[in-house]
Amino acid sequence: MRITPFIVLDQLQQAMQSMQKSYARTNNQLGLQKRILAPSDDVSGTRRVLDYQVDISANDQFKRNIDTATSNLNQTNTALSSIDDVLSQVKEILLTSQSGSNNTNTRTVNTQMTALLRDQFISLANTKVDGKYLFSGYLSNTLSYNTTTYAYQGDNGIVTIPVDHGTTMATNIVGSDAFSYTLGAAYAKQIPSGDYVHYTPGAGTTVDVEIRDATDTNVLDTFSFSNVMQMTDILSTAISTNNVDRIQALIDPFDQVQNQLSSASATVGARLSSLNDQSNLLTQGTNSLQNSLSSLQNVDLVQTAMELQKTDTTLQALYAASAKIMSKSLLDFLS
Amino acid sequence: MSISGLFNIGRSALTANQTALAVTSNNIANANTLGYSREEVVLSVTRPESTASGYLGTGVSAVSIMRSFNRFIQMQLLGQQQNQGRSSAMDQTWGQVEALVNELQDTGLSTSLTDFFSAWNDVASAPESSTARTVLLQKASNLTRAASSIERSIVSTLGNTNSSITDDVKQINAIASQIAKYNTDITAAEAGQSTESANDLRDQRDEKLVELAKLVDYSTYEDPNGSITVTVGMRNLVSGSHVNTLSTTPNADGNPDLSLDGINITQNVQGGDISGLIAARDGIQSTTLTSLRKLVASISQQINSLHSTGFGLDGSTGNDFFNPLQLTTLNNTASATVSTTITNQTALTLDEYTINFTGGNYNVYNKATGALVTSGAYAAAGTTFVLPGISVTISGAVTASDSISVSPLTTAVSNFGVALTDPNSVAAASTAAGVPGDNATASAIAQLTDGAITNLGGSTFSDYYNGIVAAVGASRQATADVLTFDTNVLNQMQMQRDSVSGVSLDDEAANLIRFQRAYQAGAQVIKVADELLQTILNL
Repeated sequence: MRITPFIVLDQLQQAMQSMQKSYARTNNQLGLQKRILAPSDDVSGTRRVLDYQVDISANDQFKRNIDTATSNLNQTNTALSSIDDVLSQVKEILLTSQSGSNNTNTRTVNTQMTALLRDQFISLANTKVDGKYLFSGYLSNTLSYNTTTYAYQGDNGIVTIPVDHGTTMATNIVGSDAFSYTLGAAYAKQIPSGDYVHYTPGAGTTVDVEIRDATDTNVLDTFSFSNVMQMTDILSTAISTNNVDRIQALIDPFDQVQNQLSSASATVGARLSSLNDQSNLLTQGTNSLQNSLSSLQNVDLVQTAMELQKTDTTLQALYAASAKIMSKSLLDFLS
Repeated sequence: MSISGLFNIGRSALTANQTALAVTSNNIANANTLGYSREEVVLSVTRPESTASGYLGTGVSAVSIMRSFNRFIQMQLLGQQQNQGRSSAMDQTWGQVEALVNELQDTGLSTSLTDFFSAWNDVASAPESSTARTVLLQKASNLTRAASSIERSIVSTLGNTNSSITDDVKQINAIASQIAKYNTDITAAEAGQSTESANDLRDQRDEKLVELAKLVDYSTYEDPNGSITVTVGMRNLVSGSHVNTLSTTPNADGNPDLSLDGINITQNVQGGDISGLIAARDGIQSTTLTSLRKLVASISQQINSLHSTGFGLDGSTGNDFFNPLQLTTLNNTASATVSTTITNQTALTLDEYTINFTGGNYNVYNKATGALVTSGAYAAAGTTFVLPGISVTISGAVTASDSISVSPLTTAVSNFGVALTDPNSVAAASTAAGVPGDNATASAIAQLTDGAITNLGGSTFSDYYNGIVAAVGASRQATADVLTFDTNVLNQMQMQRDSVSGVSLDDEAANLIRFQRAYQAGAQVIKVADELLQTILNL
């Protein structure tokens, strides 16, 4: 093949161009610390990088949701365990008052104590966090319990938020699930006083109570309640009047409501632990995604720096060679 | 042979070598001229004289000046120039679009899409909070801005591509008339000669052909009189001294198509810058742009569909979150009138339709797949038919060449805006009674990110978007690979051409000495002949 200066120069130019290009590229990779600079560099790699990024940001979002849910449930848990303490105190008074043998002074103190505990119930059941009433269901801007009638004013709305792909978690307990119980079927029992008590389910969580005499025929007294606040209120009055039938009739309902409260606490505890597990899983998932992402996207510093050095050396050699080649001409030797 | 014969031989040596020196000097002078082919003098012995002792030479003559030119290499070079022109244009255009969705350097839609759904999650976590709602509206308008900005840039890239196509057409026409001019000149210069002697004119015409090859693919053939015919897309562009002007006509999408001699030749142009521009333009329009619009249309459709069933803090319901989709109708008929309405936003399949008329029937095709969607008898008095979510009424006379296109996507991005202004109208609750704590609607919208969207072929929003990015990357990668290949081949061809036609200064320097020495020797011959003659005269 005949070689002309055009060929030599063109080749030099092309070689230099391609060297400069790879030089600039390697430099850019080092500068941005990224192996893939544009989707066309590695299409399937890009696709995976983008998918990983979507997964990581979804995980981050789920973790933020879990944080919100955890904070809500922790508040709920605190309120529930305080209420449980209050409930235990009420039950203690109930048990010491059921014989009806306390003197007037003790009864007065117990009445006042019970009324105080009832108000504590109300204030705990109306716990407000971040402007939301914890136990009102969807009606989070409404006081959960009326402070005079002690009636539940919320609804049964369970708020759920996504905590994983296709999985949601309830973040609240409604008041009617924690502080009331739903009587399944009517039943009757004889109380220590010898009278009979009939418990009949009413609307919702209402329980209608009927006290009959020892022959279980004549109705002596009726009352009804739908939550622990109302029960405590009735108890307080019963203690002040030393109404032993009512006090004894309330023992069963207080046991029931305590069960209900424990089960609500257990539910919250289970949710919290499941959220904690879920959060750990998400963190692990994110970590492993981050690892994959790094190995896919991050530049291998040593290798790239070597690459840069190699390109640099080649480029220098090329410059030196070009200078030599371009200075050679027959014309230099003719004189 | 007489002594004067010696003079003649010496003179012929001087003339021939002087010509050779002139050609060598011209080669040296044009060593850096693009497209110049090295020339050589063809020397030949003159007719010998018959003498008693045999034939005796009578000197030398420069019979012709030949271009060192290989037509085969030149044709290959032109063909490769056309390939390289095409791939270079495609690479550049796709490169611009790739930069718009380069998620690896954090440009594109991904962040604002994630932020938007993240804001929905926050509303679901705190449906009572007006802060979360305000942030949501903010993120939503960020999303619309990001989408519009990408669309605007793609549309403007397409617009620039169309301008480049128009510029290429102008340049092609200018080169065509120059080639026609060279045809005339070469025909005149070579008239009556049996060899190709108009070397420099041919070099210049060849250089114009190289320029033309960068722009468009063509084929040529040479007439016996030396003029060439250039055909583009199977129509004559240049024929002798005549030029047919290449022009552009807008196609159904409003983009310029190429037309030569009254015929649309766009499909037949497969090489050169202009074909690369057209291919990239059509590719970007039918894939990237349409997919982006479909994604946005689908986001707005899905969210509106859920949002309008929910209830805001202010008790409002039935509100669209984003502006509802609109139809764009392109009516390419002479006398028909078309009216289209969206009867059900949710039922829209986000397909674009083309309506044609044949034999008294209307036929509706899916523009993307070409599949027949529906057809029926057409009555000029007024024909109404229903497509998913769309009602179309056409009336008036139609012809077989008429076409109507209906698209819910054309304005999907330009019209993409947040319809709500009041944060309290954001419908987080699923029932009126559930306000304010009910987050079921917000939660359902937040979970749309995981949902397979039927109108996006069962992908999630992120999947679909990542698919767009990957598709752009793949297109760019393919064009870049082809460009590298084409450039390497072109360089090889160029090298072969230079090997044959290029000027080597070393060669020319040697020739310079060679012809100079021969010239000096020729002068010496004349001197000797003169001395011989003097000897005779002195007798």
